Amino acid sequence: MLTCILILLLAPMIAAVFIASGRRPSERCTALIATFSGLTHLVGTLGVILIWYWQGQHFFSHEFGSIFQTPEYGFPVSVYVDSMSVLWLFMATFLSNIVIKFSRVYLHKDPGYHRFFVCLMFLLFGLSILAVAGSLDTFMAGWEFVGVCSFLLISFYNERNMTVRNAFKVYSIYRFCDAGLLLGAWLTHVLWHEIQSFAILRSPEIQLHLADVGQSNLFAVTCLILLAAAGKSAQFPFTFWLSRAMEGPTPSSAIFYGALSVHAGLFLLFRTSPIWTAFDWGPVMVGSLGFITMITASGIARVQSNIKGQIAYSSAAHVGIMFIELALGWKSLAMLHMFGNSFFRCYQLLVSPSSVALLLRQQGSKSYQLRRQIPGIESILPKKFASSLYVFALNDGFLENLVRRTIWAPMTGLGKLIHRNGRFFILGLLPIALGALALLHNEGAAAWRLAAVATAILTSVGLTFLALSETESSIRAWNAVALSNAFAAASVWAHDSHILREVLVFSTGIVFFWLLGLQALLFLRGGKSVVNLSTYHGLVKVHPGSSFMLFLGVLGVSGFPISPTFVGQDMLLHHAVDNYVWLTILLAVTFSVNGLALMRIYAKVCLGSGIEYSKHTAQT
Amino acid sequence: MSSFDLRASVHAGRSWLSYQGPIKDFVCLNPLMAFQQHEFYEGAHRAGAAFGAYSLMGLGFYRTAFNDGRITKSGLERAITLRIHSSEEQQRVREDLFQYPEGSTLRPVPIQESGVRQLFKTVKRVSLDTHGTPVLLRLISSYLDQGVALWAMPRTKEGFFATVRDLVLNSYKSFPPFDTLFAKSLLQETSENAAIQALESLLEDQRFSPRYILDLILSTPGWSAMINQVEMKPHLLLNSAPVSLLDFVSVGLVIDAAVAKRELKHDFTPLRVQDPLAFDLPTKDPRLGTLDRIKKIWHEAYEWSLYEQAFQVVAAPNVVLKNNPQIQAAFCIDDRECSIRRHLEWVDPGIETFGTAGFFGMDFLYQYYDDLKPSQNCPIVLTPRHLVRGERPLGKSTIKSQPLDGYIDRWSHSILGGILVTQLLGFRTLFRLLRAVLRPRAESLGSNASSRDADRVTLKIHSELEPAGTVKSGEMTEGYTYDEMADRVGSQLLSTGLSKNLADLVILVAHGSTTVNNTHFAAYDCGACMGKPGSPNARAFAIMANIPEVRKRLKASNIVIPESTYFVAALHDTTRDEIQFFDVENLGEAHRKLVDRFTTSSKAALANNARERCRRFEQISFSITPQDALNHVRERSVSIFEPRPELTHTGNALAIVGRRDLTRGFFMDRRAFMNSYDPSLDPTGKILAGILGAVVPVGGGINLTYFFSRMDNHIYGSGTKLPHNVVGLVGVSNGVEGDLLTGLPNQMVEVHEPVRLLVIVDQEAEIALAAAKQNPAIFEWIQNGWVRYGAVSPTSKQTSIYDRGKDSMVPLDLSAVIPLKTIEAQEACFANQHFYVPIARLAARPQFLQEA
Repeated sequence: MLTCILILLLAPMIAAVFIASGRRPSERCTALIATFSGLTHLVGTLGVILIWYWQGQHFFSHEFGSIFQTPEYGFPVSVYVDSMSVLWLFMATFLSNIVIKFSRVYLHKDPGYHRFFVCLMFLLFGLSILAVAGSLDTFMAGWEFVGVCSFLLISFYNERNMTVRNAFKVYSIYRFCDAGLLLGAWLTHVLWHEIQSFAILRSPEIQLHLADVGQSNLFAVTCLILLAAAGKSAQFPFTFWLSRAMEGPTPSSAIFYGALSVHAGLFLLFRTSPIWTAFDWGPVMVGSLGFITMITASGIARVQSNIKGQIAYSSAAHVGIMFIELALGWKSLAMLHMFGNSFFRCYQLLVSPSSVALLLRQQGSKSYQLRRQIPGIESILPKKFASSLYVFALNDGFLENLVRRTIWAPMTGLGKLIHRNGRFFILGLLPIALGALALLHNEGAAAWRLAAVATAILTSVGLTFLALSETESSIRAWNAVALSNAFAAASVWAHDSHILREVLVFSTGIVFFWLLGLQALLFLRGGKSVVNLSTYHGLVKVHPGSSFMLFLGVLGVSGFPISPTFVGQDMLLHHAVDNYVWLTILLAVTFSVNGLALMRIYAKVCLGSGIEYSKHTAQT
Repeated sequence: MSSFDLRASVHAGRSWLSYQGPIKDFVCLNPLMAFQQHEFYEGAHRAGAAFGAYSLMGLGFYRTAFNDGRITKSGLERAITLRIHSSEEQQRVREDLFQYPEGSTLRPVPIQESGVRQLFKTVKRVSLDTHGTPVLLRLISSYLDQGVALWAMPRTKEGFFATVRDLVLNSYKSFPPFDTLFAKSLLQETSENAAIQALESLLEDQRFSPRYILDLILSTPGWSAMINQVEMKPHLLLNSAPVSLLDFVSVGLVIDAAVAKRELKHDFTPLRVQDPLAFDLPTKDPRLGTLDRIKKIWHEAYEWSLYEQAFQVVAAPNVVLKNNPQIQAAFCIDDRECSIRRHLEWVDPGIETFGTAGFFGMDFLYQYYDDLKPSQNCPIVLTPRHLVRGERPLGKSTIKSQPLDGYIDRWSHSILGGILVTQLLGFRTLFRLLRAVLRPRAESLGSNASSRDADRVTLKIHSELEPAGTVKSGEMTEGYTYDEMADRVGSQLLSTGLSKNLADLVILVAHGSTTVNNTHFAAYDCGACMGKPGSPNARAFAIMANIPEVRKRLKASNIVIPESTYFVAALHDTTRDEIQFFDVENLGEAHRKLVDRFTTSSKAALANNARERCRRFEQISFSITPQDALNHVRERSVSIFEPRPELTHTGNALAIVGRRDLTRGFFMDRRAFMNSYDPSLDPTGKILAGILGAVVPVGGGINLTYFFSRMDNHIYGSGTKLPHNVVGLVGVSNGVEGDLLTGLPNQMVEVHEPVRLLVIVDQEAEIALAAAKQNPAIFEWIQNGWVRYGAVSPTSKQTSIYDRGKDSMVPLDLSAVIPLKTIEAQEACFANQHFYVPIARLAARPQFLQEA
């Protein structure tokens, strides 16, 4: 079993690295590597399925041990395979193989041929990690891979500004919801120290004790998990991103947004179902979220006048239905539904260009018109009500406005505010933090420590918002993020000075990738004094090498599982212990928003049209 | 009250727009038709300056072509000497051609990026493009939706503006950006007043309003063009809606004003323009800079290197058939038929081929029995007055049921239906997916060349009005009277030179294309039939020409069709390389044999043709056998993952109007439109003028569509088709909120050589010029250089080309040109070559006779 899992994890990973490292590779070579690794993945998956079947369809779990072990902390690496993993693996491997076969011809002559397959392979890798992850921490790694691949595939045709803007929009929602998962993972650590893996979570005696931590704690965990799941699965109120994601080549949209990635949130809910079902109102929350999404998304799908948008909203509506099924405890039905939906939507998207021929033939056909379907529900509603509903649906349920106003605008607004009053920010924080804390804890040394922690973390949060709203200097934004990370580390260190080692692990990643990115940025600015962040510069066309370096830097600093920072972040969160909930929340916010600010720098500097018009007109 | 004329300003905006209508009848027209009254380079540069597009390739492109031998020395010399007369100047240019720096590769600033609307955006810091334009596009795409949405926009009869008004004012929840009182009050006005008031709120000085309107129109050029077309020709839509560009502009203006009001609140004041001169439109002749002049020479050298080969072909001695042919086959002039004709003649020298515009002179609307509305099946420049119905034969009582897929597709978007479909058919889709990528098979998804001939429909050709037969002109009639038939058939036979020496079997081969998963399917079908297969036209012609009454009338006008001659229609599927016959069930023994002979010969010819086509596909081995090639192209046509089912008109560059004797035995590499024409039947050039009336706009339109889509695929073309999203069944866009994309996708034009069409006519220069001048609209193309026009004298073989400066045909001297190669086997011409190969002479066949 472990061999099979290793095979199916390594195959796409190695293929991606191979393709990416090739110098002037031929299309044939890339396609061969991809096909081979796809088939290897298939073999591995079949192996897993068969073994799982013969072992009595029970779950399988294995602990590899921890990457970084200290007395009070460990980052466990473990695998866990059950029926859901098997189903998910089958879907992933089947659809990936189909899409590889599809794309090797479809993308012929596209300048991004190799890039596409690299992303596809990394995606398959990420999805496989999701499937076999044994704990929330490992799960998180796969989750991150899926998010970044998503960004890269949406912005595949990155010379169009709208495409990059949409890719960033989607990434920011992912990132925002990642904060939920990060906090959720931390909270489970805190609440149930012994629960490190999904396997333990399933054992009946643990399930009895889950509710011991109290309903309010369970409520918090459920909310966080639901936030993460809603973001990834395009549930209310994030439904709108799914249609915005239809910017890449059709096969990537098909596998991602039609089929697999959109079900990742559902997968998370499956995995964590013992936790949220332990909360009395958990199923109700999950079910109502699904219900709201089902109603809004299918309403929006009804009025879409473009094919891909229609399929996207339909798919989201169905994930909503699966949420309901899951909440009702009909796990097998939800699984079946997920299975059917993913293949069906994938197919619909792949053949979406056919709709011109197909639907027009129907529209122009007498026999079809005679058998026209039953009129929709809208025809029996009062006119004004129907009209309002139509307006609601046509505007994508006003969801984008809602999210922009409640989440995005406060963040950038805060950043701008800090930007405008920079000095006051630095000078004002200290006394405020001091004053507040002195009032709360009248205990001398501890109060001083608390003040230091508070100042550091607030500075960190301030800097990250500053970086997010920076419009002028990319380098300033870059440094602000690095500094914000430094302050974040400092805040935990100030809180607990014994964890120098953990801070070092965190910082090595940050420093290394910060320098890498800084170097790239300095190079990218070229002759100009600075690369501003008010437009898209599209420098990837001119300097692909440095852009790639910057991208690595972005991934590294934001704690992608290629740098020690990934473990570092988890450790810092872990050490911001129990009674300082606010510190943990602020840390999670900092880490997520930092990732967002970094990706924004990359998008603005490297992607986009970089359009500049020739000022020399025809006259010479 | 207002100091400008709204209607006139909107109308002025129309002249900048493309002429592309809904994608279902994609017709290739000159994308720069609005600039056609200018000389070619001036027009291209004006358009480039207006739209921010490249108008010629970069210097690097041409220099590489020179190094690769694509541009020949003689071509380059000719381009220099034709353009520049003083020898000092010529010398300087020769240096510049190779030394001049490449210069900036940036596009010029398009009109809307340097206009009043842009100024408004920058001065007031209002993001109209991110908050305004998506709303406008969303509204219009729902309004004009042809059947994607399950819940269509509730439309009113008064048009787009009124529909938006109803929608906004009837909603409980306000519709951003129309959620201010200001916006709502604007919507309550009439469309025109709303536009005027919106402009007054946006601009202080109404003199700039026309420019603002133009900026607005050009900020969504795709939809504006679509609306403009649909407004002029409402029948283009199946599900028609009253629409006007004025309404569209009004809604756009109201949205702009509303967004500004919403973002600026009380700071929203009209824009004051400081420097009025900055917004003059580029009306002056853009004088070309040095770089442009050099590029122009390079470009002409690029063209001449090919043109010279074509002139060598027609100037060579004629190759005639030794014996009378047993079968004559008339194909469409389409460049894709260029190679199949050669292969047929090669396999069976008893077959003589002809070329004529693929609608065979049949100017009608066609209505298949299951069609709700008739559709035009002849060139877009004609206005048909006849309707032909394809009727269900009596034997077949049931209507072929619609493919199930369609229903599933609709159901799957509702909640309950969707649950059923995904749960029940999810598994089935798994197998479907597998089959679709592993073993592609014909699906109901695609556009099938013969779909509208299915069920062996019978054509209703004969008019009810016979024999009374008088119809008021301008009215639509069903079918044709015998007189009308004789008129159509006669002129068609005359113009192709088929009016004498008719063989026993005459086959009219229409063409169509079978593709799947292809939004631009109409661009693969017959351009002369408005993006549809030409089979109804070929069938109609064959039926007419076989009617004794018609033959009697033809005899009276000196066109004798022998008793033994029989006309038969066929359809060539250019993607799958298949030929199918129509109405051959009741043939006599002799004709049956001939049809069988043609079928046998065509089998080999089609395989060879597929083999020749396959060498262009980079993923196919050069050593593929003809039979494998045939299998490959057939599989390719039904593969949902194949963005290039065939390469369509990608080779088009030449049009030869003349006898087949001029080109028989030459390997033209599918580069020429070929229209048969016998100069001996046409001493006055009247027939020629008729042919030019179809060849120039159809061939030139195709040529320039490819030319400009290749020149700047982002502006004139629609970019790569891989991410395309179908919007409202009228067009494609990128993503869900992009503008409609006009022109051809990159996959169709990437291997195209941007060369203007050279029309060469087989006629004396003076007659040829006079014929071209008969129709001013056609002559405009030639005079302004949007197509090049050459002639070859049937008697002296002297070649000539039209010169704009002298307004005459100037003789050409071909002595300095490298002679064409002679090659033994056809395959040797293109061995191991993916790209175009030079035109070559094929070694003579015994059945061919070279005239002295």
